[in-house]
Amino acid sequence: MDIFSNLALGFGVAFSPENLLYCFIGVLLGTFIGVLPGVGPLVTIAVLLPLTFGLPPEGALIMLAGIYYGAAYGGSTTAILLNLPGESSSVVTCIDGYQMARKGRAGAALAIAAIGSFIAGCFGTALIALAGPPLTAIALDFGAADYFSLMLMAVVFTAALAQGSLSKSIIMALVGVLIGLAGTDVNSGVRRFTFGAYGLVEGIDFTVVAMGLFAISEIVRNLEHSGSQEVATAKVGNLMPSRQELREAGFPILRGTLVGTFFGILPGAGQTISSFAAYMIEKRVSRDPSKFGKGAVAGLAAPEAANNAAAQTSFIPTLSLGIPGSATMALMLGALMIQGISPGPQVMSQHPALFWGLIASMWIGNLLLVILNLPLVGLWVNMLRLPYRWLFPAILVFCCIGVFSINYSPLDIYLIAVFGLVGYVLVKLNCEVTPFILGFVLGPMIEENFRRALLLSKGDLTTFVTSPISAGFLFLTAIVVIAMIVPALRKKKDEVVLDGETG
Amino acid sequence: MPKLINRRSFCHAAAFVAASALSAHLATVPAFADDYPDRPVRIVVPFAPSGGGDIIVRLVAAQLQARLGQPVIVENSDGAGGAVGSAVVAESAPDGYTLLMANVAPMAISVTIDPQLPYNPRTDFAPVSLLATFPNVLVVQPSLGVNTVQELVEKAKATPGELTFASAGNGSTTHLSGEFLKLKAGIDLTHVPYRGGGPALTAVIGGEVSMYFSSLPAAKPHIEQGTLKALGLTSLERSKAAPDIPALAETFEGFEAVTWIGLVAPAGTPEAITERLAKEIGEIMKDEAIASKVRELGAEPVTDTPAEFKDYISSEINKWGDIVKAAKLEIAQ
Repeated sequence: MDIFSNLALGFGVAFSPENLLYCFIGVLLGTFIGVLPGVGPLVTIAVLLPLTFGLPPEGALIMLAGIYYGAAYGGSTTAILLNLPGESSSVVTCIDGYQMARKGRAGAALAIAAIGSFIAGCFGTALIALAGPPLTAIALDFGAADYFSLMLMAVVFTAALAQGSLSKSIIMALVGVLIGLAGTDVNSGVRRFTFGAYGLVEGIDFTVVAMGLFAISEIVRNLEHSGSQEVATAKVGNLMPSRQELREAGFPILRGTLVGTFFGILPGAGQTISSFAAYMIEKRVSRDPSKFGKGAVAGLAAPEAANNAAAQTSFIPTLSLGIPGSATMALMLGALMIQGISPGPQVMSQHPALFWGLIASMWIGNLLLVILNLPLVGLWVNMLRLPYRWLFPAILVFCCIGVFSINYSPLDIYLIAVFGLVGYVLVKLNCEVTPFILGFVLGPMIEENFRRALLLSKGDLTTFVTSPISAGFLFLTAIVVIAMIVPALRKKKDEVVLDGETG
Repeated sequence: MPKLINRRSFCHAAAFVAASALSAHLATVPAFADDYPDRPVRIVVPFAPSGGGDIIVRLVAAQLQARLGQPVIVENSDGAGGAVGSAVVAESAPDGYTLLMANVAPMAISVTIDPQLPYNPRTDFAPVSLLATFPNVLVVQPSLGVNTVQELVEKAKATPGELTFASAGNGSTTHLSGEFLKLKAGIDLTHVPYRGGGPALTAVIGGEVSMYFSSLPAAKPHIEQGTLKALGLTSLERSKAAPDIPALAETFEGFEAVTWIGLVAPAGTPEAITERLAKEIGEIMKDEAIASKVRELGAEPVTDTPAEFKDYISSEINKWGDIVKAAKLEIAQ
């Protein structure tokens, strides 16, 4: 099979007028639901699924895929403009994207996010076309011990890079772990920290925590200065990124793309981790890490690229193994099955028009997203010209509707209020929220995989070094720990902290 | 509202009424079967929208809408393995306007393993009809070197506790099917729970665990490719979708561990309404266009009467309860 004839077949399918239309409808719809917080691609795809039964399989899948990556993109818009993470994967975008908007660079931030996403999307698509099936083997090689070591490495790296007090970061991460552990323990089925509330049996939803800590606490902070327009709403500035900003975004986009590609392939690791990992790497390689958290272009470009690359490459295990990496993917597989196509390794050979048509449509979809969103940048930014007294009630209402629509649970609405308050207090105490979120996401996964690895090895701890993948990650982690302990390096870090506090 | 157990459930129900845009006063007016339905009907699916059950309910809802002449809306209310959504329906007005997709886990398993379960599946629901059953298939890695379930049992007896089985979570049918096999075959296997069916299937394909009771459509392409070996189905009969795979019941008499879904209403719903719905569903599932879609999803369409469904739920509660007790499973705290 020749790759070019395959791609030609794919583009032939995807460029048919009706499939282009399905693709356009998909990304447009996806962008809008991405902008609405909480209303995720999952619910949208579920509602639209019956409508696709009448479509040919290619059209149905192309449209649903368009919703999926359109939503991944749309979530960044509110993250940048309002500090409101529409999707879990856009939490990291809030950190520096919102700071750019506050500095009057909202238009530039949106444009960089669009360009970064497009480049990452192109790369992800090309990778699926060239090496999709062989890459699946990587996903199968990852066992519980390997996942554990990978995530441990992620946590240690963050601690090493945290700004400000190291002890504060560790405490924040541990509190995040504790809150993340609420709910039913996967290994034993025991309920932890639920206090008898049935709404907590499944644990606390990531979206609830992120909306409270970022969006709600930001509203409270803004309202503190009553009457003042200190918020981003005052300044809008030049819409397009400057030459300098584009140069700063270049390498971060490439690195973010690689990071996102890797995490997308691993089922379960997902987009959220990929954007965190990309952010951490940028901070590590940056010549001036103190700029991070204050509107660093790299801190926006890399996670955006990573998030989008992961959205693309997560199709690899789904299409080649027939195993969904997320509930959204499970639903897309259901859509395939109802069309009489059983997902799995044979899809490529038995339904080449579908497989390659979908891949070609991903590239077209990413192009449509850029064409669609660059002109919309002006429109979105205009939203910031609204007086804040009109804007913040709207944000509150959307947050509540969005959170309620996840599980129809009123408890979740109380929880965003609680996390909003917590977030406000943490800002006042100069505690960074990032380690908290990372602990919340990774802590439960670390515990789950650690215990599963021991269950499989019958309690033998050497399982973490006998697996070569796991041993490699642990080795890297050890190097970082040593580097932290070495006093000379430690001193340099303190200088950075001082810069951060005065700057 | 028939039952106000606590403030939280009241809030839950109240929010639901508001959210589904029903006028609150209508809920208190007794519904008469003659003009049923004169407003939209809601079906609560107590899981996130993914997987075959959700899609089947959406298919049936579209057909039901055409037959009843009123919108039939599917709502997902995920949580606690289906118990959250099931509790919502148990507390709803018994007027036929709120229905539940009943599932084996919250209807027949949770009652034994969850002492906090906020409803009683035997008394809080008025069953309507079964919709479909999903057989699971016991799969192993070819490298395990067993071709039949007898060979698996021999291998397990030769190496007690060495073989492992994956599950989609504690108390799921994939978990209890493994416990059932341990009891029926008298073997010792180590249970390794995963967060959902996808990771569990990946683990058995990757060789991290020895075996897994997978859903049939997810495992079928891998069985055909030879990356997995099928040892047996958990339905009493072989499946038309995969006639070469023997039923485990051929080796272990009475081995049946299928995932089933059905439709129930809150207890006290007028019999005329549940009978009417059961009749419509019976006709919908007999429609070959619908039945074939259900089979594509790896399920077998099955319908019955409200009385038969009630007996079936009761027998399932007993069956799973016996397995949980015999396996001495830890009860959720």
